[in-house]
Amino acid sequence: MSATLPAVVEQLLAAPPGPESERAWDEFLAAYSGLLLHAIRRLTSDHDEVMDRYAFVLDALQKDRYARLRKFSTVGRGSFTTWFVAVVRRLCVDEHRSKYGRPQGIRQPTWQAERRQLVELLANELSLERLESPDAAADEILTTREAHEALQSALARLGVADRLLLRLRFEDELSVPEIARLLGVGSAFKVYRDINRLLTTLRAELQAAGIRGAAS
Amino acid sequence: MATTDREIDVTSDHFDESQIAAFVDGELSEAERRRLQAHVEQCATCRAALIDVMRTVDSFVGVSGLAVAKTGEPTYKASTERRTRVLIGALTAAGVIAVALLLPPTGRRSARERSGSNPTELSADALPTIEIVAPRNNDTLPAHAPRFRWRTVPGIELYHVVILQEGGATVWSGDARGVSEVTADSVTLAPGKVYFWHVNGIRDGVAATSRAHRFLAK
Repeated sequence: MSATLPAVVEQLLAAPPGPESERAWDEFLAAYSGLLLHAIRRLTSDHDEVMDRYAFVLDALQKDRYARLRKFSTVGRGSFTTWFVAVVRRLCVDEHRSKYGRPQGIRQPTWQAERRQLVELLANELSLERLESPDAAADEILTTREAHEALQSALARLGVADRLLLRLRFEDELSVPEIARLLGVGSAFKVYRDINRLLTTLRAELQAAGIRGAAS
Repeated sequence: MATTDREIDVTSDHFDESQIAAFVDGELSEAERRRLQAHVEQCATCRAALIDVMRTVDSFVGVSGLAVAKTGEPTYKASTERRTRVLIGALTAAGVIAVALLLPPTGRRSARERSGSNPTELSADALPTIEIVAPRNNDTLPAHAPRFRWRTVPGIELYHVVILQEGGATVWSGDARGVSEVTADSVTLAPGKVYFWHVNGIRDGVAATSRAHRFLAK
């Protein structure tokens, strides 16, 4: 499927090498430098780094006669603007890694680790009792662990879309309008209702399992 | 519902740029959306990419709307050394890059400086949000004399509407006083093209702002 290219990009890709290509590149920069700089600044506030990355990205875009930009017309999806921002972000991440390597001491979280994090966040939201100080009585600690395990099981029984909703809200801390925007839901109110429905469902399952502190 | 844990193949299953763009712009088929949602539910890396791209696109259109609607003094200055590097990197576009370098770094700073308000009070994130009525994201609109509607904010009489092309160039801007809609009578958009629009509430500078919404001219 061929995606629609903005005219200034079409002209750039169609221009033969030489003055025409240079003029087309000027016009492309006039149209997209603002977006490019904005995307870079969202990743770093140091203006020396911004300029380094700006130069890096321009070099990468020009390479092999704009091979990266040409990709949009063959495999591009979505609008060119959104695709371009995704490309710039990827290039900035690559540039950062080429300079500094991957972050040390931080491993890619596994699905298990992520699910535990979501459980802890939801336990807080549902006002479940948490592990307190080391002085907590053994039976209190056991109850809290049981509550977390019950919550983990209840989460596993939810559908993918429902769990994603909870992750976006509680792990990624997106606002409800942002979640509606990202998931293509027409109304933020629907997202509110869905989240409340899910929390009610989880509370009910925990109460049925005899877990304290899950009352709404 | 599967309850067994499994390790995610985080090296080969990550989204590419096209998938990210299609997801953010709502251009996936239902089956593809379900498949990609299943991955992103379990992959924080791809979720972060989607969120970053969405926020970058949405915030840029708001920023560029401010930057074009109320031109002001450039606030961004790069060091001479870095500017030289950039000029070398794009040798034939010196004038264009000089302009690009002078764009304000963030919508917050440009709005703050243009309004002259207390810097601690004015930031894009702290501004009241104007709720858009129509068109909303991915709606279609007549190419000629499109109409824009929003909900008014108490205390704000003057609203400034901006229509932008992809990439941020302003197509049209206009004011509405005392009402919550405006028709861009003097503009005919290109049918089939994507545009963005947003509205600012003006009172001693920008006092409220909407999120940018994308629409298709028909």
